[in-house]
Amino acid sequence: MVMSPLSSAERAELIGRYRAGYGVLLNALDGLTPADLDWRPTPEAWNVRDVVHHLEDAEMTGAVRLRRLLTEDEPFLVAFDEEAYRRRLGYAARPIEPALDAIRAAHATTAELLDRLTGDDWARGGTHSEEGAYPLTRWLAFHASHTHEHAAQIRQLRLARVGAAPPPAEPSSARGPMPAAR
Amino acid sequence: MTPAELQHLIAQYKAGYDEVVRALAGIGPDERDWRPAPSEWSAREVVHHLADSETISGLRLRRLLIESNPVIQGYDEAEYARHFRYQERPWEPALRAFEAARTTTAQILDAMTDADWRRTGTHTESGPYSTEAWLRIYADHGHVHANQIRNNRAAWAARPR
Repeated sequence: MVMSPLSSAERAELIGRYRAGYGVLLNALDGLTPADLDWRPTPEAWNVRDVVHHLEDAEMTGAVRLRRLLTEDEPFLVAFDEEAYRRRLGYAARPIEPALDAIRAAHATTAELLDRLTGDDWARGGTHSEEGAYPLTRWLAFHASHTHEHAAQIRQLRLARVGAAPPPAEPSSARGPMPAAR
Repeated sequence: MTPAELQHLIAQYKAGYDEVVRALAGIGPDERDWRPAPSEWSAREVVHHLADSETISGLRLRRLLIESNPVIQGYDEAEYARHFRYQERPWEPALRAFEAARTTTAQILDAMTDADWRRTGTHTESGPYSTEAWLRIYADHGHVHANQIRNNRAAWAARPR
């Protein structure tokens, strides 16, 4: 039997963190103005709208990857090029409400599955096209924190906009996309 | 596909969620879980199928637009229903997932160019798989399952008691 590198207490903590992600994201968006939504520290940097659409696609992809890990033998997971998604799928022009609904629903339905996993399920895994071996525990470690990290990115973007002296806006703390959801 | 046909299919895709909600209107708790035959799905299972299938299909369209000739992995929908215990799980989150997958994907469909409608990938079971083929498959997927729910409800009403 392959031993899971995570104890059951660690798994429960990560599942709890995964469940809490959507609420933390909403908190980060609280009181958001249209200017907050579309402000970029630099022309190439992501804005808040991009971050929310990124979470839509990354978290739906994560939901489907978990289902594949649980039903296919060693599935091959194709890397997710987040910058290609952002540009190709017109994130900058799309309303974010449906994206928020998609994130919430992906988390809610997937958390139902995580709660029911057995010891055998936790030993499952697949192969990621860029990262190689991709055990289910790696999926959990990544997705438990992913939404939280982007909520923090949104808070930083909002602070940076306030701190950017107009005109013209040239903040010193320009951040690129983070973290890699591939 | 003509522009008129394309617009018709996109409109049908957008109407699919409401069609399912109409088919479910007023359904009772027992009726929701009732299977017309042991091998058939209950309305609850249909809703969970729509959540998983439509999330998968929405992501397939995205991959067709982004990757060069992506391999689209088939999946076993009956195995999903069993393995993921569709019959035991609450259906409200599943309805939300179905709705959100359609709403976000409709935003993408509305912005697709002629070149986008010529993109292709390969399905592991059915072979060549274009964005146009994708639309033909999913335009009426919600409607097909709304009819399945209506048929279940008619059979429920006519069941021997």
